[in-house]
Amino acid sequence: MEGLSDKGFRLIDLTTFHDDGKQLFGAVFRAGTDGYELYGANWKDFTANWKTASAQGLRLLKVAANAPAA
Amino acid sequence: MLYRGGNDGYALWDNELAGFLKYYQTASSQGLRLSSLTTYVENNRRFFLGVYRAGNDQHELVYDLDWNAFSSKTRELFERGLRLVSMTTYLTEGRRLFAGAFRAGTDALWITGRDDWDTFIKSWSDLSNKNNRLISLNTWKENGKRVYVGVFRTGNDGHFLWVGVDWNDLVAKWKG
Repeated sequence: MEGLSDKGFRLIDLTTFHDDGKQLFGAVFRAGTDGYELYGANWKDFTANWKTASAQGLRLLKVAANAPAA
Repeated sequence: MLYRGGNDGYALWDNELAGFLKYYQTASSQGLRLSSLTTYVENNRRFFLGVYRAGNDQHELVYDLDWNAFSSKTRELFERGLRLVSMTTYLTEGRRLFAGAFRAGTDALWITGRDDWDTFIKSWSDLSNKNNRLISLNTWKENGKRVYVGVFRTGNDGHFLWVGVDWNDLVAKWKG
């Protein structure tokens, strides 16, 4: 099955929230053909991933922190 | 964490407000612009996390504003050639506050009100049909009811919105 990224869409915004005890996400996609990555991690793993991804021609676009509205 | 292709300058800064504001001034003087911000609480301390990208354009950062002040400031900055690129919201002593990063721009900008889902999705459809694209989605609860705010900028490319999914479904939809 093709995902949205295979169909020429890129995730450009991500938000997270909690409803009924579940962590849920809102995702905004727009047309794009550039490189991309989506990564879920704790802070330590995230910073390691950020350094690696940045060195590989990717740039961090957005961080969706857990329960940001609290 | 969301990445896209790029080879420009960049930085990531995570600190409490005073340290965040200090680095904002430093980064802005070094050819970086705040392009995304978010906030979270850890050990009863509020942190702000900023993603910076290369830039030398006009910029502004606003914070600790209630909805009316934030909306008014956004209109004022629009008239000065600045466009909202990222916003976040948080509670301080029970007050709903907002922060936003602005950069130079000349295109259209729309911010929907604090709407319920049905009203929001109608605005999303109407604005999308008039050559605008959602660039930022924010949601929180007011009086026990979830409200949504969308930031729209000019655009007519393909687009897709998916809300209320868990992580596994999101990744599956994204990757296939």
